Amino acid sequence: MEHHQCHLDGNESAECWISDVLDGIPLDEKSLPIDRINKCITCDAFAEAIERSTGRRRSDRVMTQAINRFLALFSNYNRELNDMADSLKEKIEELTVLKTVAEALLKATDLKKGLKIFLSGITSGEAFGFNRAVVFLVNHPRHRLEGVLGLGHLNVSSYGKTWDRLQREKLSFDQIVEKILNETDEPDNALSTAVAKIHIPLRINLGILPKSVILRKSFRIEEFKDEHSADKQVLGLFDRNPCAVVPIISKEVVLGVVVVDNPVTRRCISDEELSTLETLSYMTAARIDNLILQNQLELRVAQLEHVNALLQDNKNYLVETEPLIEAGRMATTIAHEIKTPLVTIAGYAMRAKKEHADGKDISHNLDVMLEEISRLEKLAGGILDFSRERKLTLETLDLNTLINETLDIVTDKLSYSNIEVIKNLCDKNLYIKVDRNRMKQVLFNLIDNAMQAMPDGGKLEVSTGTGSTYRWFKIKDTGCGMSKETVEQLFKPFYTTKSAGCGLGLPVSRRIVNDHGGYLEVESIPGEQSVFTVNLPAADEV
Amino acid sequence: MMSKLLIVEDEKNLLELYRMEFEEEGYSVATAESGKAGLELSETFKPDLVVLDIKLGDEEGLKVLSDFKHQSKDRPVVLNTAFTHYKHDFTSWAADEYVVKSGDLTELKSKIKALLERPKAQG
Ligand SMILES: Nc1ncnc2c1ncn2[C@@H]1O[C@H](COP(=O)(O)OP(=O)(O)O)[C@@H](O)[C@H]1O
Ligand SMILES: [Mg+2]
Repeated sequence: MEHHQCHLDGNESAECWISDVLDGIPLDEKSLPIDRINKCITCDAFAEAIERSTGRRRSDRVMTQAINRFLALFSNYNRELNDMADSLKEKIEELTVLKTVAEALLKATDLKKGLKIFLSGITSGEAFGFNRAVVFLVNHPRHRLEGVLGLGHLNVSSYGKTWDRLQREKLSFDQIVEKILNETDEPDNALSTAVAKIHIPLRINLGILPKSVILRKSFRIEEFKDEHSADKQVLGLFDRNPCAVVPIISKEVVLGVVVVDNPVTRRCISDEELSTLETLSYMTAARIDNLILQNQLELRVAQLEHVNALLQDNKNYLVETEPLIEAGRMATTIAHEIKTPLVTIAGYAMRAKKEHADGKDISHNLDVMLEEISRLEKLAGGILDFSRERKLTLETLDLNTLINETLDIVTDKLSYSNIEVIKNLCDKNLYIKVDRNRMKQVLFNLIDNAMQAMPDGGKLEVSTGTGSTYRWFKIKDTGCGMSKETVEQLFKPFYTTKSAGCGLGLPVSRRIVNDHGGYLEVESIPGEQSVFTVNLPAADEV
Repeated sequence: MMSKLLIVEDEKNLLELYRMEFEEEGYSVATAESGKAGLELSETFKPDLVVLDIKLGDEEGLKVLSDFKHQSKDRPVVLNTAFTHYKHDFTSWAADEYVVKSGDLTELKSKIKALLERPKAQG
């Protein structure tokens, strides 16, 4: 039965495919030889296969039926193919447009331009033609979404003619990009200005914007209503418009969301548009991520440049800022320092009142109160010194004379405390230009500390000398000395190891010395001695 | 039986005031000028309650608080400090009470009394 064999398969032994069909084996799309069905119809093998299986008499009818079935299948299949080809073509076109946007983004030199290009791609009409698009970026440290930029009009009333004009003007996307890349210091449009005021905490119950970030999911809304945002400004912005929200995700991190809406045309956003927008977001996310990083880097660099400029402008800046930073911390510390004696005084006062009523002796209570009050007084004095206007009244004088004047005042006190004073003064006059009273204050502070370090008596050595540019004096004691830890903290305001100390003596002294252009040095051997050296710029004799 | 209080406070005068006032209230009082000394003392003294002073920004103070809690979970600790600051610091939640320092000891006294009368937690 050679003529039953198919002529078209190029396989002489193959039976015509129609035999299978007629035997009841279902015909799937793959085995249907669509391209040659017309030839099969005229093929002998085909006709014979049908004839053989059905008998001559019914062959015509069966054949007609079979052919009709095939033709129906064929046209279905063909239509699908055509549809597929069409949508593929569309997809390719769409991707090409999206690629243009993504590529244009590469030309952007900063985040703002990048986002403008991104939004233009969304609103220009070539890819989507949404009426408006707005970008919000995630501020990760603050855990919130922040409005950054918008393209389109702020409210419907401002559309009117402008919208028509824009429609007529119709710049191509390329032209828009060109414009964006060339503009400098363009002021923000009204929409961006409004959007920049919006901050939405990243909490899932605060509407679909944060929800989109948290769930990493897009949303499509026919009417933007109360339930879609807890933020009044957001509600006002997208007021009952058809909207879509799409997250921008790069390397697993949500950078932000883009929101599009159609307040003018009021056209609802289709699933296709949404998925195209998702594609665009996907294609551009990495670049936006880079631009964000670059932006942060630029901000840091700008900050550093600013600081650097300040440093250049004013070499003393560092010296000045340190106490400034310290000042904030100090305010809290001062409050604490004052509060403790106050609480103590109040406590003893209440006790005294009670005991007095009981006819008891209250002198112990009063002693403690006096002690705490004198501590408060010292503290107040120290704070005043610290915050006093730092204007110096300079005069040229001999360092040795200054030392002698000061020691005269404290001699009695020292000998009373069993402290022997050893003077080791340079035999030349050592001229310095200083504020006499303030420099005396430094001396008092240092001698005071030395005395307190030697409660059981000891030796206080005061020496002076000179280098080529600096004159110096040293105060050396044979007291308790200081641990390494204490030396590190020495100049911190309020640092003290004494129960009645206020910890301002050394910080104030150092500030005075620094104000004179000098510096203070410390050396100590714990348990043996401490030496404080004050170096001051040398002055010429007047 | 006399309840035993351990008071940790680095201001000598204030510590002395607390000791006098609480002894007059009928407590047996031990005092320490530092957290470390307090922890050591409490091993032998076995106080029923600890009053602990914590300075602003004092990391060590909060550590001492948790050390006291480790020593004995059910023994109440009252934080006594100059500032309301710690009220908001979750690390201080381990304390059973929080009293802002004041010359008027009425609040401190009544809170200590309430804590000591509180039925012991089961288990
Ligand atoms: N000569 C010294 N010997 C030992 N320790 C000293 C000496 N001078 C200063 N100190 C240490 O430095 C701390 C800070 O000193 P200061 O600022 O004058 O404040 P105050 O004397 O009120 O404590 C002192 O509490 C003490 O511990
Ligand atoms: Mg001092």
